[in-house]
Amino acid sequence: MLKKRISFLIIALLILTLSVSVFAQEKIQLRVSWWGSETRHQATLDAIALYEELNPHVDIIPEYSGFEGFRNKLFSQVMAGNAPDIFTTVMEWYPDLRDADAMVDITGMVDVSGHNPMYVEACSLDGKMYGVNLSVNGMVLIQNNTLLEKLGVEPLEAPYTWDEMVAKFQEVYEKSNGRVYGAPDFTANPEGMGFDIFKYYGYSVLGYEDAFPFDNDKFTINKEDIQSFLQFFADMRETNAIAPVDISAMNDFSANSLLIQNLTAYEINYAGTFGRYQDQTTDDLQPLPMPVGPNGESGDLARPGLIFSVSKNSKHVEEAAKFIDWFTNSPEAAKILKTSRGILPTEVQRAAMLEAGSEISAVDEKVMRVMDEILQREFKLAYVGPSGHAEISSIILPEISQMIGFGLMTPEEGAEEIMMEIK
Amino acid sequence: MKIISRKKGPLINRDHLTAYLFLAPWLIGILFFTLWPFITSFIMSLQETNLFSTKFVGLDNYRALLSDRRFIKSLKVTIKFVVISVPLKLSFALFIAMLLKDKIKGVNFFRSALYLPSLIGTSVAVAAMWTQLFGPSGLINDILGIFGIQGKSWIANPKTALYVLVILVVWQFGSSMVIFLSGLKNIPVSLYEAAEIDGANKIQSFFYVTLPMLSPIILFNLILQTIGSFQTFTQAYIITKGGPINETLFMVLYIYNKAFTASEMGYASALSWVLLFVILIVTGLIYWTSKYWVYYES
Repeated sequence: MLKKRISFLIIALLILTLSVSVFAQEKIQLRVSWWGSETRHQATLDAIALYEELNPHVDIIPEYSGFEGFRNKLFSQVMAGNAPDIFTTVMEWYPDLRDADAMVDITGMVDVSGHNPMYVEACSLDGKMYGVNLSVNGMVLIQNNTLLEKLGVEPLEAPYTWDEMVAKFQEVYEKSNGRVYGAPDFTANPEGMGFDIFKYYGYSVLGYEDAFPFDNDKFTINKEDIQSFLQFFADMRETNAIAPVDISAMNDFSANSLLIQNLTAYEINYAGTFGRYQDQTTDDLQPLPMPVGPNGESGDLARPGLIFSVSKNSKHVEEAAKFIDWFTNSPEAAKILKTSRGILPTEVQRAAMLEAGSEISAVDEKVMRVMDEILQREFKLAYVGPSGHAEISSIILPEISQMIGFGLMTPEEGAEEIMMEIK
Repeated sequence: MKIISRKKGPLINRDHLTAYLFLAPWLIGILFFTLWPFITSFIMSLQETNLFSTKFVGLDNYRALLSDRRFIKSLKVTIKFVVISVPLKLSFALFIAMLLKDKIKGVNFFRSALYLPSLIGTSVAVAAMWTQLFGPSGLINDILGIFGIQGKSWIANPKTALYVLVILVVWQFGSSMVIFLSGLKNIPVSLYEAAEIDGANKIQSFFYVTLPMLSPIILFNLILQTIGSFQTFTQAYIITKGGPINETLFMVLYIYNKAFTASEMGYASALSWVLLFVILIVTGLIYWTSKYWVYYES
């Protein structure tokens, strides 16, 4: 009797587990990974929840973290063949990801008609669209208006020239009796914006028209270009317009940010990170477009802020593309995502967000306004650069710049050294 | 309860099997997580690898090391760090152990409190705290400011960065201290009494009784700390990131950079093997000198 009862129970249990797993199988699971701040995490999770509501057959598994270590994790996952179906990337990782055969060509699977074509081109490699841009982004000069007011310094107003910017930096140092510097030394920090500013500098100051400092395969610069840039920073160091190397090397995007600590009045970063700075201080920060050359030359790049790519090992490429399509084109996603990834990539979404009106925070409005200004300027196509060039921006430039800053090298020697490394 | 008698039998009988079963976690651990990576890393050190392809290149990686100025720099920096930090840490640990060996009021509290920094030792949180302490607007500069001294950015200054890390590891003297403490307690009181009768003062009895009697323990601590010191990573990774201008680019940090930032696993493996040999040689040297200064009672 007991035996019978037990076997009945076991069979019942078996049926139950089987049926549960059958139901579970019907749902398509999509893993999506991204990095970012709390704001971005929450906004993305909310958007995902809405998508799941609209598409009950899809179950999205989010994998999110800070930026630290994201690249390593992604490449380990790629190597192990278990990368998320949809992962966040930047165009600089494209060549490595292509070599690893990690991305699916999704040309025609996602509607990109609402995107700026420059950005669609930047998301492609060898004519294959390997991803979709999630935000238009631009470099901005962030200005601490509260601090400037305290120091009795008139804030900058766009458009302004490079000379005006440097003069302003010096004024900050003088008016604060040497307590506050104009800006950090962007070139001295391994995680700094130095190389990105160099790209802008090439178009805006050195007069390049296309492909600076490299195209997709090789460098297009010479020693004089680098020397000019290094000298520009050496001069700013000389006059204390920028903070000394030993202070600047400590600069980061959060607790040790010189801008947040009121050690500098200015900082340069991408518009998408503006909220992150503003979240950490009660001072009134303001993003400005980058400086222009004597004849108004700018060097803003159509560099996709963040890209969603579909993994080669994904079993649901169609569904993944559908999610990306919704994420980048639908007004309802726009209303949730707002500026959590910078400015939304498509006109439809930007319009939807503006319609939302009162729901936009003061920070978002500032970012929208500055991006509007930047988008009116002439854009340059962003290039991925030759493989292995990352070492130039993250290791060699900061190293050389620090040596110059500590007086161990002249800008000319530094330029020679960098040219040698390039070769 | 029945006592199982041990009988002579085949190599693997039931008893052995049980023993192996209980040892299995350790055996699996050493086979798969120590021995296997060990062998693989040697094979990889003979290959040129990027993320997705490998090519056998023989000893090329080792040859490339010789002309790699960052490697030379990192070797120098690491040795400098070991030479400065290990003696300082051991002296400090011994000094504190001497203070705490006698029964004074609240000695247990002091022992625990002084051991605490070592418990939280290599954690990221401590390293992050150090960044705050020694940063341009950190506590150290605030304190110096009270005395009218203009502080600087200790961590990012090439002259001071290494010493910020030295202070951090010296501060984590607890485990050496505990070992010294137990060693000190094992020195027979009779020796001190004899020295006292012979007219030795405190300092003399320290040099003529304590040090010789403690020398085996010192050797033990020295070797342990030297090996550990060669492998310093977390502190430099979090606090200085190897900078400024590579002044704190420890070997392990350089290995990490090569392996996980530049994705040059083969080169990084070669570096690891060089590090292993450097540690072997230094440890061997210490061991060889020990016969001149270590005193074994028996």
